[in-house]
Amino acid sequence: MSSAPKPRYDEQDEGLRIEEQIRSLLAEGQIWEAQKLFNASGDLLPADSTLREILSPPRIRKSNVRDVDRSPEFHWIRTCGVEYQGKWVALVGENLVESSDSLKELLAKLGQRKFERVPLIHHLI
Amino acid sequence: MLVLNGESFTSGRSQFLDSHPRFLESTAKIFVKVEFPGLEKRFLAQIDTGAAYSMLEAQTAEELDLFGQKGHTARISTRIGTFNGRLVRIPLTLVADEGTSLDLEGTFFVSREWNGATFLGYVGLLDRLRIALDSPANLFYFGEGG
Repeated sequence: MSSAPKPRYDEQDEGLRIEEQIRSLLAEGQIWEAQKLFNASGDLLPADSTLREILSPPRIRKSNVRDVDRSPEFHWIRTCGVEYQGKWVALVGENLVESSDSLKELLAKLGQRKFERVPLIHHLI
Repeated sequence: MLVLNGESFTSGRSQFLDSHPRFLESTAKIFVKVEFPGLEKRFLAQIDTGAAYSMLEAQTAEELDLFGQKGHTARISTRIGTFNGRLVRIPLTLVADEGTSLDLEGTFFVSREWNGATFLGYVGLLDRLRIALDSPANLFYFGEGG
């Protein structure tokens, strides 16, 4: 007597079930659990599941971007920042070049202005 | 950069800020420099190894047009409350003063409700990097994980 044939869609169903479970965990705020389940799911998740992208490890590659010494900007934040509590500030060296209540407005104020170094932007919260 | 057992351990180094204007003394907060493609300015993001996920400050997310993008609904509990938002994949650069910067693409929680700092969290970002602090010198070392 032969055993009953295994339905072909078993793994597919299991993948969809896990996908739904991960979505529910994320929606409930159980991110660690969602990540653990994703890591354990192997290839079971549907190939086109967007969860594969969201929960996969970060992509990392080397970059040629380089910054300058920001000691003057950090000094400004330490010594003058308290007067701008709640503001977005743009700093170039020890100079406050713009400040605003919103990042959108700050960026608009900076516009295409040229500075000797890229402004450092910080929200003083 | 840092070397371990004769091999490169980290590739980049940058100064970090550990001061908050509201407090005279140094705090446990570590702010490092990042850049978001499209904004072309330097921003400060707080390292938070205790955070489940990286979180992007709402106004920065708005400027990056992230609220219009698809993402997975998620909820995050913080010490100041629970926030509803979405998980989205975004690129950013961890900027070095010396050595090599790193372009990263990681998962961030974005929410219009989140007006706190931008956090670089452990899961999905820092857990794939090598990081080290030279606290007396306020230097942050980083590199790609082995």
